[in-house]
Amino acid sequence: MSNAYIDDFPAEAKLVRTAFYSSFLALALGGVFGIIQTLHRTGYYRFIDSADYYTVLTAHGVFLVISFTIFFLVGVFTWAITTSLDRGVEDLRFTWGWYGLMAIGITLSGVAILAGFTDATDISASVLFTFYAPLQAHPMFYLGLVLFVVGTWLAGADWFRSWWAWKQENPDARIPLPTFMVLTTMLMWYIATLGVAAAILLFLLPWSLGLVDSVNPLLTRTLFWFFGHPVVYFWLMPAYMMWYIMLPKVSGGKLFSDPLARVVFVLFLILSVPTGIHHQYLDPGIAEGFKFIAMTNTMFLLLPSLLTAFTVVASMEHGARQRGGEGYFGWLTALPWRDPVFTGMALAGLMFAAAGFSGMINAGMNINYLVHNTFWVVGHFHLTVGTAVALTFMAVTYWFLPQITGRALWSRSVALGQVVLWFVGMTFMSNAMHRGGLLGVPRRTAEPQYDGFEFEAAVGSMGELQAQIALGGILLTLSLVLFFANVFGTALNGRSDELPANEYAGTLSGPEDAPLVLDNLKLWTAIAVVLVIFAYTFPLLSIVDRGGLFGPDINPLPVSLETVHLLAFVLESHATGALESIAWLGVSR
Amino acid sequence: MRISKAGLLVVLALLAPLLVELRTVLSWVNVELTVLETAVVGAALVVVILVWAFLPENGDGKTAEGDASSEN
Amino acid sequence: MCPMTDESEQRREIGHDEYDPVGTLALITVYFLIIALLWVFMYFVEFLGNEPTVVGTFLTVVGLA
Repeated sequence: MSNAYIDDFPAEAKLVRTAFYSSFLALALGGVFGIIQTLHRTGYYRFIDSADYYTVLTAHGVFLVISFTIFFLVGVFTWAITTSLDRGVEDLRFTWGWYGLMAIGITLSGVAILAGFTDATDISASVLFTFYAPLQAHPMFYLGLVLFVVGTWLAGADWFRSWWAWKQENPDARIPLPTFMVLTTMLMWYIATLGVAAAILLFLLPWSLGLVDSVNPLLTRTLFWFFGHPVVYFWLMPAYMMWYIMLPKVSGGKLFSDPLARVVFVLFLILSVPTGIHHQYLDPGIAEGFKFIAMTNTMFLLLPSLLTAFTVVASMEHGARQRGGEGYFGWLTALPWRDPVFTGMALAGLMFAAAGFSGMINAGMNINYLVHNTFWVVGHFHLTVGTAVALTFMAVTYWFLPQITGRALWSRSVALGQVVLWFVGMTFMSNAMHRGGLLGVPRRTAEPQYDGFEFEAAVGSMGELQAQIALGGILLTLSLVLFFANVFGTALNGRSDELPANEYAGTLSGPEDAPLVLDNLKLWTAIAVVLVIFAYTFPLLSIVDRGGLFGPDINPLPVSLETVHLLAFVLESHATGALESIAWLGVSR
Repeated sequence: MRISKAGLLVVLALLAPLLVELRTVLSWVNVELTVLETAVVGAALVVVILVWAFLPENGDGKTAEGDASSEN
Repeated sequence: MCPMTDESEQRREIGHDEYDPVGTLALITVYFLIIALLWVFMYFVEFLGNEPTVVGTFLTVVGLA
């Protein structure tokens, strides 16, 4: 008999397993749409209509950044709470209840998106993950998102409930680190989702149902980004948790500092939300000063990530030195590169370091103008959510699968090949996306090619960049195939009695070294709320003041061909006007 | 071997970003490589690393790292 | 099938007080240098390599549409 998670918590293991499989289903769907759009955009193989490209893009975005990441998150967080508090969930029916709500919600949204491919119904939701007005989706899409988010709220309530019950029995104990990470992340999520809840329930859903005639696009955009930036930390926090509590263990060492880990999560709770406006540097109607405040907050957010770089690398080094590593760089060779769990997470961390740089470029207000809405941004988030998060999730899956299924991993070698292949594929794809963005190649565009105009690359050519993107996309797809082979192979294995125990990393400097105030969740939540009020009250007031709560009359755009033609005509006339005025400027100089 | 098979795999993977950006760096010193030339340089580097990795150790090198255990 | 992690490879125990993460310092220094160099490089690529950014004109266009 082993001490795996499934042996200690069989009922919870079933829930975690279901959440993981839901997330993998989304990953598979998202991956398929990913390769379709990669080949379409780069012009290598176009078998769908370019108008359908945006449906593909919506499906790719929503399935990967909403269902894949968040289902994985609830699995990991349930594992973290039950393992670190050493108690099962309080009420299993409640736990399955929130899972069910999430599953129903995402199914509704998913069906609304996929219905866009057929003319049999007039249901569609090709509004992209960012669902800005005036793009309008079928009410089912918004309703599904609401149910999904409410499901995550209840999941958070479930974890808080476990913690409160545990606290009754352990009044003087410090919050165990994994639980602390779950609670701070959920507090951040509660604050962040208020924005998207308001955007959907007050404006987009009534508008889509026909209850109100129009919305104020800037207001709904701003509310979206109120949620849209912190959601990236919602994806990232489970990956960070794995870097803090699993990576040191698989490296053969201990976490360097528990207090530092707590500081990092507190900083994310405080700083994640009042930064969303940095996605709107080019939005007219928001004053520069507010954008500057958002930029300052964003730059402060680099701090917890740099603290993480230090703590996590120091923990890996501790493992390497315990394994006999020597020297300034020689210790790197003593790390367990044979272990896909380690190698995947280490490569994901390395990619995240590169993403840190492109993120700084995005965050800087003036430099952002050069890359805003270009392919650069797509390159950036394929390094962050597409690698730092996704690759970490896939790597820890190789540790979790035996824990939650009770079966040994099908193949470690295939797993190692898979994580390395993801790294190489993403290197090619993301690098070329960044470069394309510098040349001005737009994002969210089915056919980025224009008559009488060619993008000019400083080194190499546009064609080479396209080839690099297609090559990267194919390697990533292969990597996904290997991943699913392992998931299926493991599920088909027989029960094993020789699984590693369900443990996470010990600490060199433990919670006893952490100031008590760090565990004061009420204080940090209050500070976070105050910062949000500072950062958002005046921008929101001025947006409402100018455009009205329900905005000037705008035409909703369910994407159909007539409206596309109309839009094309309107854009063309404005663009001609703009070009004329530029020409005038040139003449008058 | 001087390095574990897994270590070798990771070293080769890390070569990818270096090769991809090598052209940019070289263009700064006015050396413009075509894709083919970059591929040749890449292949040459891979061969050099493989030869180095598979050379027998002459006693002074470290033993292969711990995880060079049996491949499955 | 082999177990996922082999704890037996640990050769020594390093406690809190003996551990001096110089390797981390070295690695973070390298990262810092790369970031700093890229920052300098950015000036050449982004600013000297491009025409001046015209923000105002396009904003009016978006506002009209």
